[in-house]
Amino acid sequence: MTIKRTMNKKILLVDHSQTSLFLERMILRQGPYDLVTAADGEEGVREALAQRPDLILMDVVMPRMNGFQALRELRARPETRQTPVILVTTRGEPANVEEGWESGCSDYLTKPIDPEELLTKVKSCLGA
Amino acid sequence: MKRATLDDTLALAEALERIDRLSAELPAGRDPLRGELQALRDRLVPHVESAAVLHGELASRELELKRLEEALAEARRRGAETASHYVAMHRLHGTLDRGQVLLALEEIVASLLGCEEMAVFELIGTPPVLMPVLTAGIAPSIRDAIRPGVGMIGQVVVSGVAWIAEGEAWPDHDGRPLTACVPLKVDGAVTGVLALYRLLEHKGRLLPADLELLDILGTHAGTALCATRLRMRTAWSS
Repeated sequence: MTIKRTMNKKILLVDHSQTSLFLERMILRQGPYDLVTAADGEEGVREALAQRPDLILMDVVMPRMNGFQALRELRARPETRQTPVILVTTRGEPANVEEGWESGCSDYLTKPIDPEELLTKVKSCLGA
Repeated sequence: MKRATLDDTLALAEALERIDRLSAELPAGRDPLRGELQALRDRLVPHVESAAVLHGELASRELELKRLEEALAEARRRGAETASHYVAMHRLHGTLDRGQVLLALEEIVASLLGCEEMAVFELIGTPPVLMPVLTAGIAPSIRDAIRPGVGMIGQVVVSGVAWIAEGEAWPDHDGRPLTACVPLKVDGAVTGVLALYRLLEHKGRLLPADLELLDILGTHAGTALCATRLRMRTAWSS
């Protein structure tokens, strides 16, 4: 007999705003995801290497290490080079969006978060 | 099995018309053929009627599906709004630490409303004046007290009614572009004001859902800030 085991996808949420983390957790709780969080870019990189998530949602404006810096750090490491990263930020200006793409993000989402849009982008990045 | 379509229904109806036409055009003496056409017609009629009924049902189901899709979209929209309200209230009432409540308020305005330029004023002193207790994203920081009745912020304190700019942000008495000004209330009494200056560029304007959240903030931020003051007094007196 073959036992079919389904594994939840793991998503790392990186944001210094507890309010944003709370909302993202509420939205993503609807899906088959295991969620882990980090409060800034530095912790985000550390958690990404330790947890090896399937997807990372990353804020841009954060203390210690901002989202662009953290993203470049992730892209420089072989363990996280291929991990999809969605930047979730209040910074919707074209220059910031461009910097996000140049840093290697997989997608870009502006706050306030639209739950439907977030779920669609997450599913798209996870190929589900 | 092939699914019946509108084209199939039309084809059946056309076949029926063709049989009627052929039957009418048949010359006298072709009774056997006329009989065969009639038999064919008799077999076809129930199918035409059944196809018409199915087509009507399909149209009705499609209408129902459209209605359900609209209801689902509305339910999702309301769900998103409720989630946003829940997060805001949870953050505001999750602590009695004044700094944490003000930080939560700043995060709510930025993350849920799309505004990073804001200020919170509280009525302090006798006679009471509006003193800024939190400013974010505006430089130089507001330091001056505002007397009730002065400018839009001062007027909102007197009227107790929120003011929302109809179009673009409107310059207040100090020239700062104001988008919304909401009275903070405890038991119906105004205790302060939440002022939103320019919204994030991509946000554009406040939506009906944002106004609902602002209404909630008016009550819950006022109460949460009041609770922190009571906590501070209790801590000092003990």
